[in-house]
Amino acid sequence: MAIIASNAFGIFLLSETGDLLGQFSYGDLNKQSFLDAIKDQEKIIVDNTHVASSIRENVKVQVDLNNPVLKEWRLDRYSNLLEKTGVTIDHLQYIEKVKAFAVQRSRETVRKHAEGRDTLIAQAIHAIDEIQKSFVLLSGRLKEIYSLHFPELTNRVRNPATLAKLILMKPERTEITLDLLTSLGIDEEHAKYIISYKNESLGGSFKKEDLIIIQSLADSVHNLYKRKQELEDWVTNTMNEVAPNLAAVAGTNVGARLIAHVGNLRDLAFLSSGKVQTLGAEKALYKALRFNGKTPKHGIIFQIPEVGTMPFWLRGKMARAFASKIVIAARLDLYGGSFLGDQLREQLKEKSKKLREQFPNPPKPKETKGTSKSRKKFRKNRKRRKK
Amino acid sequence: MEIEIKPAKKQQGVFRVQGIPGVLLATVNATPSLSVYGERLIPYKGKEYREFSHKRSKIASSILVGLKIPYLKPNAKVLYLGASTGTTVSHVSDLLTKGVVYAVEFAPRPMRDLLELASLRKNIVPIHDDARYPENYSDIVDGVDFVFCDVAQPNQSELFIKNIQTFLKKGGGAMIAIKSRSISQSKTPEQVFDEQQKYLNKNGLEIERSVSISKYHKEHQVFLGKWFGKK
Ligand SMILES: C[S@@+](CC[C@H](N)C(=O)[O-])C[C@H]1O[C@@H](n2cnc3c(N)ncnc32)[C@H](O)[C@@H]1O
Repeated sequence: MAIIASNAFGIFLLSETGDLLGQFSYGDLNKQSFLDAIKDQEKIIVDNTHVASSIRENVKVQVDLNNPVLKEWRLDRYSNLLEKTGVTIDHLQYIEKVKAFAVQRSRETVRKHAEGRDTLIAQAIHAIDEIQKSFVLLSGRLKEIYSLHFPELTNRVRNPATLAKLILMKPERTEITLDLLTSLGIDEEHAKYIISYKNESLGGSFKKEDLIIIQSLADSVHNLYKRKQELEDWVTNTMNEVAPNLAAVAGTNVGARLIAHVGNLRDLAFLSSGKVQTLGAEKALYKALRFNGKTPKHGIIFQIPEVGTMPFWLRGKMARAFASKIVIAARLDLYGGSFLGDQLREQLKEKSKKLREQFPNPPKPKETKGTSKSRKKFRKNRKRRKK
Repeated sequence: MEIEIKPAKKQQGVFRVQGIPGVLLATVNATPSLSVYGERLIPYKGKEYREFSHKRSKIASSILVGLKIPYLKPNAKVLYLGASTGTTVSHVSDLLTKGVVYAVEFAPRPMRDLLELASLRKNIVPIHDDARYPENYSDIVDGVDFVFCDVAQPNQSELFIKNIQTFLKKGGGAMIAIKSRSISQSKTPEQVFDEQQKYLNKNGLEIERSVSISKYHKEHQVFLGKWFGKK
């Protein structure tokens, strides 16, 4: 058995009792001189994972933080270097060298992280949500303002992005034509109604310069909408590249949202499926734990159509099935494994069919349990089913 | 009111500030004219002091509620777990005029700021790693006099003890800030703190003092103990 102490000054091969047998650099770990020095050892004890993983020779390497020799070395590293090795520096230089070693390693790992496109996906999702918030606010304001000019139109054009585009193109109501409306996807009936009011609207006539300012607001709303679409397209493409299995199982949007929620693919892949099931429902979960209530069955993955459209008494089961496949998919993606996404998806479809056959009817209500709210909801649903 | 700055009675290197609303503690700025997190810089009698925000830092609020941390002395080596962007680490760096602080943080985002801070201050050694695995940075950190842990994780007492066992010198001190809610949602804070203290004692960290800083940091309790080696 031999021991290796490693640090900013190199690799120190020690005997079982701590005598120095040899001194190497990190670069030597694959060289013959080092391999010769350790080849007769049945086991090597180290206290650090970095050296452990760099030693590729066929010897048993064990990481042990409690080894007394290594512990003594570690706790008093500076004195040990001075007394037992050829290193001669003052304490200030020692710290400088240790720091340079640490900074270099930290910079490398930070950089590696930045290369992970999964974290970029997470950021894009946050950006999408933020744009969406601004879009809702600003388009609401635009509608409010434009209704002063043409309320019959703002009442009929429900889609805020369409409204913005229309105002951007033709802010003056008298210039709006039926063709324009239908070309923007507004259905014929609404379009005719709108046109019938364009010369006798309840709204006021606006001056040219007033319309220009409204138009520029419409431009902003329209731009927000376009940016959001671009980001969504990018997320879709990138998800298919970075996490194809996850994308196949959960869909690109939900998959990306799961990544965004935990921050990166690695952390998602290491969650339990129970945790995945409740991601995004943390508030409800904590509340339930505190008040000993019913724990929520699903969070973000509720947005997967196959989960959301399940009858309510099967939703929890379906969410659980999805969560377990999501974890498998995320791990496949993390380790660059093969593409099994479609297979996993198929299994889930199967499961959904089986569940529906097996439990066509809701369970009998347990009148004593549950909150009055959930009981009410249940009764409501029961009525609806009888219809 | 006239500004007045005096050494804090209990804590070497920390100063009491009077005459600036909201500012109670300060340290001497090791990088004059540079503010780290938006804290106030206060020139006073030929020196520049930095506001040591008790609202932002759990060490500052502990000192404010009367905790004395004798292990934080100018020549100490300190291991700081959960350094984040270095808000508190920067003040520890101010205090350690002849010492070093090893600052461990695993989230890449705050790590970037920490690396920048470390490039300005000689005595901060930044470590981008997971504090649950001291075997990852055992080739950087050596024997320390003081371990501080503020990682806000449910398992933090465990990793705290593991780091103590790995790096703390016998007779050294260790301090941990615990938020009851991040340990358990269903137990009362009293239960949580009691259990945590028992766990620490059982593992050889003799708790000398425990103070509540809930006035400044919601549901937080701070434990300070002395290490006598593994039991
Ligand atoms: C409450 S903040 C620390 C604030 C800091 N102590 C201050 O006062 O400026 C907790 C930090 O611990 C980090 N953290 C959590 N778990 C960790 C772990 N296992 N290893 C290293 N850092 C961790 C988090 O990323 C976060 O930045």
